[in-house]
Amino acid sequence: MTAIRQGWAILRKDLLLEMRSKEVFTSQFLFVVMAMVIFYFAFSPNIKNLTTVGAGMLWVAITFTSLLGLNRSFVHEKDEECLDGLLLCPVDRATIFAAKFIGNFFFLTTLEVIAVPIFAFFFLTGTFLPNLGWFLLILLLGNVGICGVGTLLATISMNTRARDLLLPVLFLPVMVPVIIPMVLATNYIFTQGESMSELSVWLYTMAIFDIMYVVAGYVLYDFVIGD
Amino acid sequence: MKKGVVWVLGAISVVALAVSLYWIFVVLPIVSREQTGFSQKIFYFHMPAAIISFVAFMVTFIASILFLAKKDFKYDILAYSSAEIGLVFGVVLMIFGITWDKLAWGVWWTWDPRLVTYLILLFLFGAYFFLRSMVSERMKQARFAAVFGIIAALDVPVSFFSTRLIKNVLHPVIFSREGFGLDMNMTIALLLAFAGMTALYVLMLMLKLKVEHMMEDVHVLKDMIESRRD
Amino acid sequence: MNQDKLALDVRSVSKMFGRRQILTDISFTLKTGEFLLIVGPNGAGKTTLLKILATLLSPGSGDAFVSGFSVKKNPTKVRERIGFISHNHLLYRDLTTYENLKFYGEMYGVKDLDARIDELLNMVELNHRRYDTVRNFSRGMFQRLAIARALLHKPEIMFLDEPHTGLDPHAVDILDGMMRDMSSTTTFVMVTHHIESTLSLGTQALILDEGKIQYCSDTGIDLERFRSIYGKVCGRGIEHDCD
Repeated sequence: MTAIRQGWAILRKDLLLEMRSKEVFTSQFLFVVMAMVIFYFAFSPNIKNLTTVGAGMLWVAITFTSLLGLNRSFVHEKDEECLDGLLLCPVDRATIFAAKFIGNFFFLTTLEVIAVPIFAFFFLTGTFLPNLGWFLLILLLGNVGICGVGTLLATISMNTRARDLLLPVLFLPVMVPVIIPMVLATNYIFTQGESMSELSVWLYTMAIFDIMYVVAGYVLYDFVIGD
Repeated sequence: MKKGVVWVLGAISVVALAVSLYWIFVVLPIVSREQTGFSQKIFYFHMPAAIISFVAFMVTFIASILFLAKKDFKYDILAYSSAEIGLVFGVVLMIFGITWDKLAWGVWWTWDPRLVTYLILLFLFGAYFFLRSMVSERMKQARFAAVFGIIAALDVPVSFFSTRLIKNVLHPVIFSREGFGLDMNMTIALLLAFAGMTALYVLMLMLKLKVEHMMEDVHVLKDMIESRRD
Repeated sequence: MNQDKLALDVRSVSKMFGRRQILTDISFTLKTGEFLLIVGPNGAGKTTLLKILATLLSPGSGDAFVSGFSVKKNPTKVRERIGFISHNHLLYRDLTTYENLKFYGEMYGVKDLDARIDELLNMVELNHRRYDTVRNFSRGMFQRLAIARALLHKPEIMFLDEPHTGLDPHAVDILDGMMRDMSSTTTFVMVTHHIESTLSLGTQALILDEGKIQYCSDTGIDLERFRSIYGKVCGRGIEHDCD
């Protein structure tokens, strides 16, 4: 009960701060749309049907955009050492992780709700629509993986000398094994259409990573936050 | 540490590696299994090096967990010492692998699952050392590195599995379901190389640990001198 | 061993930063309701000691009991019982006065939160700025709100880290008034530079130098000894700050 009340308080505070400044959302949105425009000019001269590289474009854009948000999720706390204020509260460190993780997940999903339809409008034909449910599931699993390990690693990098510079160095190699099944599964949906037989292996792989990262974050968070 | 152990390990690794080289280049004929030919001889050093580097990273994983549980710096020293040696083996292994690729298949790089897994692994432990260099407070450095070391090591088996999803497997499967794909002399050469490399790893780790513990002492003394001067 | 009556029971706490020894074998006790002053030159380890007691840093070795709870084994129980005021105000700039207090109040599980917030805002005279974001507050207003923040959950023990630094006279009045009002029911531990102005508040005192206790009172401050050790450690009399 206590943990839920405290987690909700942290989450609501972060939502309120973001709603007031909108700084993360604005920069992420501009970044992701500009990435799509650049992708178009990079690929369109040689590739007739951009759907064939759609999965790659989508996940490169989302992964790099997510870095902006993950880094920002601790900026409010670092200002004026608010983190000390949070750490002084009688709250489990794991609860802080859970709240930050859900917050990051919410922000990334909100961004995708707007960015992915724009992406589909630019690059996709209707072939993926019969498998829309699977596509959404992939997005969901991808977001959980990104935010699970991202929340943990963003906390680590914020507490080092390199600050936000360190996050990509830590985050990308850890994410590559998740990005591979994400891209493969998405590509399958964009280009194959009918048979979904091979999809399950990739979904399972993503699910294993998701569980592993969220559990690792929850258990190890105590060691990375604070002193 | 006993000096004798160092000499024995050194002798084992030198003798075993030398004899295995003799076996590889003199005793064994050039096999023409598929299209591999002479380049196949890389395999006898390649595979033991791969296993040793995996073992080295597993040592880092276990030492990281022990550090978080016990908060004793000796586990942190073990974790990064082993990771460093693992990284050395890993880089050598990559060079072997790329050379083999070129000789056997005519290309420098293939998106073979094991190569990809290994590349990720090297980046992960490269990041591990970058992270360490970015934290100056000793306790924090050790804690962060341990957390990242655990995540990096968790990544290895699953990333191996996930990269397997990429089709076009060129990497030869040595231990297939049909049985052991090597004859007697090949096995001897492989085992000798493996014994030599294992001894080399243990020797390097022991020496590295000794140096690192001395470094810690030096830093303590340095700080004592500095604080006297203040 | 009647531990319950002790507000603080510090048992050979040592702390190293990297390889630098900050605190060496610190042990002392403090009874409930006392007002402890911690003084010493810069770099003596005062703030580190306070942060260890407030669970913001872990003791390298040894342990400390705050209201009978170990900072190592039961940090959450300790956190429920302490308030902390430092030079950082620990407030979110983009939240309003009310939202800041509401957030911390919920984290502490304060009952009748709105009434408590009203009471505190009246005390620190910020009720008229209740719905303003704190971004544009003056330093004094930040500090007053920081005091309200620290008192939300009616802590049994207050830790203050040089609370007077940078305060305007109005905020100093509010802070001193708060400490006088509460000193009968609350234990105070204050790290301070301005020893002369705060000596009248203190009932006990501790002088730290190079991470070691140089003077520690147990039955009230012995002003003679305090003066002589303060002079030795800080190189000047108590009418001057120890810097």
